Amino acid sequence: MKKKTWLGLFVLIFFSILPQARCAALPATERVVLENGLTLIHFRDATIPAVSLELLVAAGSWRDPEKQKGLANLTAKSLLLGSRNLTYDQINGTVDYLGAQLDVECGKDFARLGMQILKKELDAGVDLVTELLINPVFPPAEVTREKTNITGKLRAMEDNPADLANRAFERALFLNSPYASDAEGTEASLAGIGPADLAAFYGSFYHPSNTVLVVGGDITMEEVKSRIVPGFLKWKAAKAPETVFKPEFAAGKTIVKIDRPISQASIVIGNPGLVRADKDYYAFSVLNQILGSGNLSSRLMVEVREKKGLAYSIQSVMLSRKHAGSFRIFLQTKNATAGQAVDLAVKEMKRMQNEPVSEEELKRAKSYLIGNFPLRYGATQQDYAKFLAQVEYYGLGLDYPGKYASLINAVTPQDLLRVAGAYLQPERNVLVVVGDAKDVQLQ
Amino acid sequence: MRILILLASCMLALFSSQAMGQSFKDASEARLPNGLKVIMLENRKAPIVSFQVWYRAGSRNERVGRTGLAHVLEHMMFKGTKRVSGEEFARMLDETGGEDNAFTSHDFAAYFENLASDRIGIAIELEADRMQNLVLKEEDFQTERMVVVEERRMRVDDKPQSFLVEQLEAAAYQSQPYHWPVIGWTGDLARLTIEDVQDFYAEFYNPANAFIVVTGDFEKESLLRELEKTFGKIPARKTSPQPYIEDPPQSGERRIVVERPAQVGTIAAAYHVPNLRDRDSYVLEVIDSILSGGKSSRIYDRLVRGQIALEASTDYSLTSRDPGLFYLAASFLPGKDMDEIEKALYDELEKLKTTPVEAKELEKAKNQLESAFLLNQDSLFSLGLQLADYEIAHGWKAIADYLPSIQSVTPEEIQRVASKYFTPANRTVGRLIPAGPAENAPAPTPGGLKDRMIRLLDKPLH
Repeated sequence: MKKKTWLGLFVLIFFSILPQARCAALPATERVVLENGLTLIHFRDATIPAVSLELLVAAGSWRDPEKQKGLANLTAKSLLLGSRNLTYDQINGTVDYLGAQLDVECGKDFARLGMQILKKELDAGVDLVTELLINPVFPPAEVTREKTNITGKLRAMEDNPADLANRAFERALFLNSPYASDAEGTEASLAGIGPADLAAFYGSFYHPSNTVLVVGGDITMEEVKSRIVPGFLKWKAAKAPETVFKPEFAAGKTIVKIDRPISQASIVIGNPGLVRADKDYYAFSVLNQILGSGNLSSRLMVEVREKKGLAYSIQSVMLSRKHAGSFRIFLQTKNATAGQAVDLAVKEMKRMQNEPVSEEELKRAKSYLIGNFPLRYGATQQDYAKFLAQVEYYGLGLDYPGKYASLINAVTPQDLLRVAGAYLQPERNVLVVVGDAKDVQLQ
Repeated sequence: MRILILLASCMLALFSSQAMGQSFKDASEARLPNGLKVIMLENRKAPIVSFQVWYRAGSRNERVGRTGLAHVLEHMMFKGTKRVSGEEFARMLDETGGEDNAFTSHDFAAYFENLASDRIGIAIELEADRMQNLVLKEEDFQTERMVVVEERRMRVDDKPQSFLVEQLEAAAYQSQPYHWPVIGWTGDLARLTIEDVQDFYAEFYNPANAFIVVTGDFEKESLLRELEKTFGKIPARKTSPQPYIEDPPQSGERRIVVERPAQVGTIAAAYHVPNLRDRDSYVLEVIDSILSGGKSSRIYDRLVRGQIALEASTDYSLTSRDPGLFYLAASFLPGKDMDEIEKALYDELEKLKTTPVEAKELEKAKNQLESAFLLNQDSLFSLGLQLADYEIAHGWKAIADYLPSIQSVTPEEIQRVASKYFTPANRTVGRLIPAGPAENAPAPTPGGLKDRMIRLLDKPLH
């Protein structure tokens, strides 16, 4: 019973405070590694009488074997389909009766399982989550149903212009490397995956040492130790096999056109970017803020929307994953102005490379990023739990929130020119256009 | 497709008083001499405030031939005043690290800033300024209208399900102004003039037609002093009447068909129902939860788990100003029997009439509503939003009745309410029939069959 409204979006990203108030705004954290190798992070936030459990397993779709795309995602989804002691109906009946929010997602880097539950139901919630995580059985009939479900959603997504454009972009940019494929796989690849494959994938990668558990909310570390840790200690230690990631990127200009009978073109233009651990990540964050944060003051917004009225939505996105990154500009404009909008976007990329950013613009971008940090990641208990799990996964260190301001403040106009030169490719990029081919004119 | 704004809840009496103690019980209101109401809720969880200005000026205040006006004005509110240009406005808020945005619905337009509590003065200055000093220029208007037309393409024209809902509502509502979409009809958008925008601003943007909601870390007395120095200077004005508008009873089922290129077909049905002014609204909340709250719910189990539909759900919001609709919807791959799907939906409604809901299932529904209600109080912004939603619908104090009302819903009431509203004569049904080459068809997008509000910016998720 996940609330799926625009509200979720607002709550996630629309709060902010000042740099100096940062420490006060984000709850303190404590980290321990349990004897079975599970990393546990705790924070206390008693705003509401609830507790969030967030599990991140380093078992994203990049680990899918070549011929079994969609395996990681189907494994993650199947955790909720049945366990040694609970049937599908029992699981969902319990979740709903407890009023819990339980969801599983699988991306390209990792899978996550999250539960938020009222404090008074905590013990039942912990029993449920540990049972699902430790004792999945991948019941064949349910797995088949889940495959049908994923296939249906794939069909729907395939024709969502924005989704389609972004997925086509990743396929074109990452060529044959593991990030190229959709996490869900394809109708054909799913057909070749059965319960035994899921059990094998689970056996390889679902281990305590490959997992981060964040417990946050109206709960102390003592309570975590007495009420939550024992359940997770039933999970046996094991070692995950090494998988090697071979990055590979499109070389030179690539244009992908997808014809659809729609009035508005969805356009993605972009190139390889940086990995999350790259030290230039912060300089590029500042660049991205100035170029296309999505705020009304960002350059792309000013040039394309405010001055020309060509788009409702235009933004640039840096997606820095563990093993490879990407940079992209995403915009939607009527078919007839696609070429004009693309030209404006390219012009702004070049401007970032050729003209130093003014001190004033730089200051404003930094001030926004630093001030906005705490509630970009900490507006709600669940947001903060998700954030901390990723801080651990990407190896940023739990002092990351404290360091963030100095990392951003260190960025100079010269840094911006340098990273613009290195990570923006206005000419040799991947361009995807989903629109009505007879009306779309690229110049 | 499930798109509820789940404000509802219920809980054990003992627990509820504790939970309420943390939030709405402490809310209070004040009124400035010029008529501007201020609703305040202090919460010290972090040094942050959410400052929100709400105008009772949504699409329901528009007139035929000029739809979309309230939303276009919302966009124009970012174009600058006599004192602060649009660029300066954006820069000033950027520097605080604050977030600001705005959204418009049938009932209101709302503007907010979430920012560090020691910067609240900036939000107050900027909002007070644009309540009275907005500069509405022809040139800005022409550009912004283009932006809004792009927004309409994105939200409605290229989304078959949204298009279906627009048509469904236009058929279900006749005399109620919910008849037209918040974003406006395409032809009307082309007809709007800067004079229309100026007139709408002059008529509806004034202290007595607005209210302020502040949640978070602030001190009431000093906040009110600050508001008096700024908003308090705006002269009082007479407001236009805001009649309560209710459609007459339908005299029979209404059906519409939308034929568009689409990968997935959709059936949606809507019944006229009351809002929170009526006790029945709480019963409808519980019904909504029984039918589609979670994967063990009746409609999910019957249609999605039963593999008749890709997605199926109900939707109801009790905080509309005028009476609203209770929606049922299902989407499905081509080739399915639409009559069978439609019948399956109605069967679930019939069961509610004939068989009392068992105690355990009723308790489950109430648990879910309770939990959703509490979890939704986690952010200051959503606390403010909930207060404002109630204020718009019936006065913010009604939020206190909510939990006990839900708690007291009985199986007999569910039978009575289902029998009263879920009748064929009270129903409007819409079918989206996929037409044209399927492989080229646009499809439903995640995030909702029905957007209740539209906003200035769709911001990226980082």
